[in-house]
Amino acid sequence: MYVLDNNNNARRSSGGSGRSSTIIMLRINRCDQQQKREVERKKEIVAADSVGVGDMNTKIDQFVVPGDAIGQIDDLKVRIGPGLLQNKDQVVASKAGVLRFSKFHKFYWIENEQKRYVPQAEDMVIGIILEKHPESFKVDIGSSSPAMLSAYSFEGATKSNKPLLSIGNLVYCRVLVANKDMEPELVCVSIRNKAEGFGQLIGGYMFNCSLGLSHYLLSEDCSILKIVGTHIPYEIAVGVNGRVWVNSASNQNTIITTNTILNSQYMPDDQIESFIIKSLAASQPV
Amino acid sequence: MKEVLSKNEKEFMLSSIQQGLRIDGRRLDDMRDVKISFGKEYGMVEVQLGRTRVYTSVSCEVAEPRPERPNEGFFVFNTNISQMSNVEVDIGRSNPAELELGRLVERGLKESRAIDTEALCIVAGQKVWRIVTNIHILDDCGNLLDCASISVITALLHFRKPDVTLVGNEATIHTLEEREPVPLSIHHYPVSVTFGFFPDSLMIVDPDAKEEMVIDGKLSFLVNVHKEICGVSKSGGMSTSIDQVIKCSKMAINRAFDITNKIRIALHESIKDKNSSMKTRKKPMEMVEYTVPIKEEEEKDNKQSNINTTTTTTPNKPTTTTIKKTTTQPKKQQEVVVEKQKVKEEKKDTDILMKDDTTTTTTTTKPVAVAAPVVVVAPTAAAAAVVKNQSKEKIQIDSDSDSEEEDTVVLSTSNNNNNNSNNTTATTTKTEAIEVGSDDDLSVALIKKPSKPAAKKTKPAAKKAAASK
Repeated sequence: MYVLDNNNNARRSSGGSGRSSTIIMLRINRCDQQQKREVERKKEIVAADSVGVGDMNTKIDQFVVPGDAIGQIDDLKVRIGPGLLQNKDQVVASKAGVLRFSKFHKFYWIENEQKRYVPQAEDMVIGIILEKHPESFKVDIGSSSPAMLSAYSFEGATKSNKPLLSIGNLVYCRVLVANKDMEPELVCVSIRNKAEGFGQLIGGYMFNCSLGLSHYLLSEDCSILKIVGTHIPYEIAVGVNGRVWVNSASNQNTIITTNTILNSQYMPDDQIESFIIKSLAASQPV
Repeated sequence: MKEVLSKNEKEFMLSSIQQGLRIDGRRLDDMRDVKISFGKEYGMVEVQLGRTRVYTSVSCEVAEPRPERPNEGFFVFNTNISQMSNVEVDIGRSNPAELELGRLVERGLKESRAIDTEALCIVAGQKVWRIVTNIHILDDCGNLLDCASISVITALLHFRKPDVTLVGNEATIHTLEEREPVPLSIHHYPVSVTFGFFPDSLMIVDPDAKEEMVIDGKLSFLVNVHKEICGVSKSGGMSTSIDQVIKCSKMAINRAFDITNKIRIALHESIKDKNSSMKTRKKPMEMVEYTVPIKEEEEKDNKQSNINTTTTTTPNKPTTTTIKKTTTQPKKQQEVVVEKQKVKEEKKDTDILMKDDTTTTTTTTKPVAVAAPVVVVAPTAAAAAVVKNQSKEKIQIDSDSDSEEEDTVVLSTSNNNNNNSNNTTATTTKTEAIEVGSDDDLSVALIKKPSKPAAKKTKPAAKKAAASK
């Protein structure tokens, strides 16, 4: 596995096996919360098993497999995301991975190292313009079929004032409609009809990562981005379709940011800082 | 579905390459890490090149030979690119990349005579071995060819076929429990090294998936430890300068050294593990192929690499001395080109550059060229003789070295016109056809000074002798 101590040369950062199971295990290990709750949970598991199905919170940060009954929804404001299906009032897992919960968004999802993005309404994604039509764009968002982005769905766009986008450009957008049998629809405005960061991404570099990592980057207990920010000033746009766009003052800094984020899944948080410092030092001309 | 690359990525990558940076933090001439792991059975190997993963499994069966070649077995290569490997792979449609990859790997091994079909004969005209190699691409993150070639050669080296005893015209195939299975006879290990080219004659080693989408073209060299180029494949429409091709071939040779060492170490470890895990068995597994020769070979390799470094890094020194001696020669007399008669086009490309120099410097370099092999051959031949203690081989080696000396005397001055005409036709997928016959033919073309060929020649000879034994 990728550990900086074993590989002192920080420039060679192309390591790490792609096996999802090991990564999942690592992710579990890394989570501090899990260690704290471990004892409690053991009790809860016993309790849940005896009852049958318990509260959804008992399985947070645990490994689940398809078919697992996760629990019942008691709060109507809760949203369920990738890998979870609603069966009447029960929630069932449809993917293997770790169950995550965001308190802020009241959002449950299963995190794994999947690469294929399955569109879901209200997801923020990064797309690549594939085709240009008079009133819309065809955008690749990594899903099985390309998505549609209306030319009028930008802030301030009118018939005479359309956005200037060409094929190959990057757009940061929101999924408006995502149905099984329809092509997904995107918009470049927030719910309040304002740009609020959506729109074309100019310059910089976009890299692909697993859906798990992109979700993790957006979660509130993610410290990587803050740590990177203390050393390198940068801009970032995270799409939950496994695409992350980064921009900074120099190519070198962008590359370091990219690699730090990509490798962060394979190293504990306290090593990330030393990783950045090392790669920054290595990039300085002697 | 096609994988798409945004303008932003393309522009960023190009500007980074111009600054000498690569996205994954490598330098322009760095390869990704190679990891080799073995399965439970013989011939099951998984190789990881960065995140590219190729799994190869080798199996064997008894088959009937073709009537026109009654004493030759078969090597069959099947390629399968998993649908999980890449977004681009279409279900239910034959993948052209699959075919191309399989063909390249197969031709690289067959036409460089690395694998021996005659050794697969059980009873001539009736029963031969058919060795089936299945190449599975599990994860495609760029540079499949290199990863597949490493995977295939390692799997073939790791594979053992059941032992056969012949009594009269009756062959008995022993099960793995009865008798130790025997390894295949593989004469040398060609490994692919791929280069990617960018505008402004920039190039990178081992392009990954994203870089592959940006590069103008690729150039792959199949090289073995003996510094023989067993095949060249160029894809993409870009034009490359002769300088670049030569530079690439030199780098390829160095990379092949590293990779082959890695393969050897991995094989050695796996066999050690197997032996230790099979303590219950009466006899430990034979380690003929790897353990005993490894040390010699490593020593040889060290020697070779020493020679290597001296020749590759210090060509300037000797040239300066020659300049001092002759004083009239032009500055660029870097290397002596030794050329055999059967050298093919892409080799000639490399020669082209040198030929002007060689024509002018034949008089001065001749004595050097002849003197060099004598110095080097003596210790290696002696070492081989000590190891083998067989007069036959000694004679063989000596004869080799003799022929080598002859070769060195014949410097390539005559083929220049042909070279020019050949060079104008672009180098596309070519592998060198090698004459069937003596050991000498294993060495196809030599770019370097004669000292290395001399050291090298002893190896196939010794190896073949070991195999025949």
